[in-house]
Amino acid sequence: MADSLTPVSLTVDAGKINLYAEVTDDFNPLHVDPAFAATTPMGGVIAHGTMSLALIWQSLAQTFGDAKTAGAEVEIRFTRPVRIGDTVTAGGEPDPETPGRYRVWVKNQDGQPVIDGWAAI
Amino acid sequence: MSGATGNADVMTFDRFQPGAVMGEETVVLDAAVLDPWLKLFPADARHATHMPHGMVMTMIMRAYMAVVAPRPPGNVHAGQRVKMHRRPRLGEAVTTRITCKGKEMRKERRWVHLASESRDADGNILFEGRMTLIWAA
Repeated sequence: MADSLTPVSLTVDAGKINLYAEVTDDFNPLHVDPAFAATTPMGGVIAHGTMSLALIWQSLAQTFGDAKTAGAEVEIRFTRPVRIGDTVTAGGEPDPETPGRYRVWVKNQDGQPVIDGWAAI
Repeated sequence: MSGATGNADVMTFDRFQPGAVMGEETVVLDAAVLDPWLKLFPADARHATHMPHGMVMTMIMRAYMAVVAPRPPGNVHAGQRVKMHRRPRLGEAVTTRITCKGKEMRKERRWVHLASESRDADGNILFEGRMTLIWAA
C-alpha cells in the first residue's frame, strides 16, 4: 500500500469547462451559459462533476502506474459544486477500515471535499 | 449535472423502467474527443498508445448523453462507480450499453440508478459503471 496518493490539481476556468463540455458532449447551460446558470439554484456556472473525478484517476495512475490503474475500481459521491476560479486537488490515503482500499477525495482550495469515495487497485 | 431541452418525448422519471436496456452508443476514441482532452490536460499527452485513465468517464458520459435523451433540465449526478478492466487503444471504438437498474422516491427526490457496460469491437468488457442521479422531473 502507498502511504498516500500523489496529489493532482486543476484550476477551473470557463475555457476548461467548455473543453470538457466538448469532450463529453455535455453542453448543459448550467455549465456553459453564465446568464442561464445565474437563474438556477446554483447561482452561477458550475463545472462538470466528472471533470474533477478525472483527477482521481490521474492521481491513481501517478501513484501506482498505468498498468495497475487500468484495473482499478472507484466509487464516489459528488458532495459540493466546483465553480470558476476554484482550484481542486485529488488525493487519498489507505482506508483503515477496509484493507486494500484507499479513501479518495477531491478538495477545493478551502479544503472542502467536492468528491468523496474509495478506490481499489 | 445533466440536462436538455424538454419536449413531448422528454425522459421523465415515470418513464424509467427498472431492468430495461435503454440503448447503446459507440464512441470512437479519435481526435474529436482526444484533442480537447489534451488541451484540458496536456500532461496526458504522455499516453501515446492508450486512453488516458481520466477519460473513462468521458466515454461513459458521451453514451449516456446520446442514449438517455432528451432529459429534463436540472438533473444532478450524485454518485458514480466505475470498474476499469482494460484501457482502449487510441482510435478504438467503445460501445456502451445503458441499463436502468432501479429508481425510487426518497425524501421527495427522484433517484435513478443506471448501469453502463462498455465493450470493444469484439465484445470484450472495458469498463463497468453505475451512475446515481437525482432526476429533475
